[in-house]
Amino acid sequence: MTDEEVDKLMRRILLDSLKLEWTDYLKNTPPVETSKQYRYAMQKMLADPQVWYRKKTRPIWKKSLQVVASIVIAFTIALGLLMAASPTVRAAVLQWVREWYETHIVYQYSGEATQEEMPQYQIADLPEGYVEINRSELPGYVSVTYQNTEEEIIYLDYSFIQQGAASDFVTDNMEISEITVNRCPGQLFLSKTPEQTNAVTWIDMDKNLQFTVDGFLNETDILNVAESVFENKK
Amino acid sequence: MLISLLAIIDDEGDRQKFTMIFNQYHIQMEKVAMRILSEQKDAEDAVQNAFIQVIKHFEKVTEIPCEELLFWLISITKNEALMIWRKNKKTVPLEDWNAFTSASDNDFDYKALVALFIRMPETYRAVLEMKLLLNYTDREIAQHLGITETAVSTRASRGRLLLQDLVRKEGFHI
Repeated sequence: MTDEEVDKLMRRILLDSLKLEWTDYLKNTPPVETSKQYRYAMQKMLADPQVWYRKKTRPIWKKSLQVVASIVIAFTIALGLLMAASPTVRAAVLQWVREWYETHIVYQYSGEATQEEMPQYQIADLPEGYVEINRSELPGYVSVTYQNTEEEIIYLDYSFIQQGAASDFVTDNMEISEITVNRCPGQLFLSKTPEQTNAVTWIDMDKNLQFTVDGFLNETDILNVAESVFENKK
Repeated sequence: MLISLLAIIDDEGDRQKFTMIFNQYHIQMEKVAMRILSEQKDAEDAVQNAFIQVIKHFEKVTEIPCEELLFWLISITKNEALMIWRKNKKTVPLEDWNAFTSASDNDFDYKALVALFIRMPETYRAVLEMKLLLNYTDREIAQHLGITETAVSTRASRGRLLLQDLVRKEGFHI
């Protein structure tokens, strides 16, 4: 018997064992009651399987949210004084606020809504073997996917800092530190487990954009990649 | 690879096909997950993970004969649920391949062979299902089950050898 024939027989046996094991059970068991959250998630999946898939499979996923509720900003007295004294500081501070929660960090934006077309950014200094394989654009948000031959992924995401949008970073098993990328303030998320990616995010107030790079890269490489992000104006 | 995967449910026809699969089979998939996990939230996670696999391997879904699709989906859901089950457990039972194969020394007909496969140690059966029914690569299986690629290939080889032995002894035909 050839290997191919063995595999063919094995496939038949595996299928028949699934049939034997499950047919009666499925016929005689009532449907499972599911939660509202699950049904909502399934609706989302059916509305756009591709977007749902991407969100679900990103190790640290970051998404743009349309936030309906108004943003409440708590100012410290010192910051309030500083803002009163400096219109520039006031403008910069008011456009984004970072909120720390137990398991995630949210960047809330409050800048004026922009109708501008999204600029096209890309990574200049990609690690060897990576190529751009996908670019998704939503209003005010772009996500670029790079992949190497090992099917390892790097994401470059960026979004406009504008009223009603926010970015969410999961911080479970992450060591977080303050960094700068090309003199823009940001945060580095270094995973404590090999299964999770590292990520870096930074805010460029001149461009009115928040950037994030996310991938299985070490600290030096991910910072190099971040520093090399540039606007392709062609 | 990823380009084609991500583009695969991009057109309206595929989206409709995917919706049809969901509508037709999600109830059975939920039952499978619930039987293994008992907890509603865990079962819901398992079904969502199963649909991630369906989307990822959607090209293959379209090639599966209708009468086999339910069992293909059961296999995916069952294995996703078992992954969650293993994560939730602090200890998992040791899998004894020798004890399992000793049961195959008796006389066998095809029905008994099918029943034997139901009793196969869990990760062995999962490897064979993922490899032969779902066409996952060894790497995908290893990542999924949290075992090494070598362990994947050992399990696949043992499964094949067992079947070859039984075929030789009992003279099964394809």
